[in-house]
Amino acid sequence: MKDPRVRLRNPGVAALLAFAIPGAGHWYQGRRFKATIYSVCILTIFVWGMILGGGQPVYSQLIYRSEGTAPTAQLQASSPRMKFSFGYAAQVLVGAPAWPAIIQEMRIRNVDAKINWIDGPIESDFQGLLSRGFGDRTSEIVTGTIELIPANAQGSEVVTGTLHAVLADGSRQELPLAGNIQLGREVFGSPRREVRCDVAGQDDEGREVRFRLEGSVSRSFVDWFQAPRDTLELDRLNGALSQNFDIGSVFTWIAGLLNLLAIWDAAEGPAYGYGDEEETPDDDEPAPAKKMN
Amino acid sequence: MQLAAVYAIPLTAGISLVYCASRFELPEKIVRSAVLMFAKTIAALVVLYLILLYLSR
Repeated sequence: MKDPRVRLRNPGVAALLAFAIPGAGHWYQGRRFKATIYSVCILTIFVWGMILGGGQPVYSQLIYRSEGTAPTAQLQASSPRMKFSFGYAAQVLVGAPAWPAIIQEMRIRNVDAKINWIDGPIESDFQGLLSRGFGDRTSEIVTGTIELIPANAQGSEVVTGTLHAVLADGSRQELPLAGNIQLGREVFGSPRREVRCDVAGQDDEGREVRFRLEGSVSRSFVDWFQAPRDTLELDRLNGALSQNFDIGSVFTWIAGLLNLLAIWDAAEGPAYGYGDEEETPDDDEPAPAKKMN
Repeated sequence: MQLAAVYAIPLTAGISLVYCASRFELPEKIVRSAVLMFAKTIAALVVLYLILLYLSR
């Protein structure tokens, strides 16, 4: 409802500003009280949702692994098969705080994944499994730190370096890495980047053998924040955060939908009027009965 | 109940304020209608909670 006392300035510009940052459109119009309500309430709900969801409830696309091409979506070299996440349709309405998801989607679509390649040295914490035998294949949980170094300075398919391993029984070992590497794609919606390579070691009889290392290293924040992810990562989040991930997702949806009201208000003014109109009785109240003569 | 209240009370307050701010322009009217909407929503949630509590006994 347009009230002449409400100064909308340029409603189109105000709506765009309100879409970009909750409350910015009203600030531009000089409606400071409402600008404060919108920005504080909407951004608080959005940030609260992000915190509850471990910083990961916002993503625009869900990745599906193409059948038979790679063990996981992270280790898939070909262009990923993606489907739109409908929750993002609500989240994007909150504006700039949800825009990184669009940039990450463009990055994952446009950057070719080099799965069997390492560009430069990587030093990170590591968690995963070490498979010790080829005949009687047994695996044990390994944590620690890892140095992945390409065989050539320009990058290589072959990796060297060392795994400073802490084994399940608490013992420590220095295990030299050797052989081809598989490294998860650079941009992906998980803080953990999958890595698979061989480790040079000795069997129980002292013979030189190669063990298989499968696990993950850290991925940088700019490469995972609001990036598309697969259902495996969603399963991990649900396992780690329990219902908090779902509650956090719902909070971010609500924040986006509330900003839709703010955008509408910036463009059209308050829906019911200025607020000083005389209150009329509700329409559903029964009308007084007429006297029958 | 405690856990639900931690989420429900501030969320309801935020939703009430934003919704009523989009309906009116006068600050007093916004705050007054937001308080009323908040109270009605919390009352409805409590009633719903009590119904579910009764059914789950």
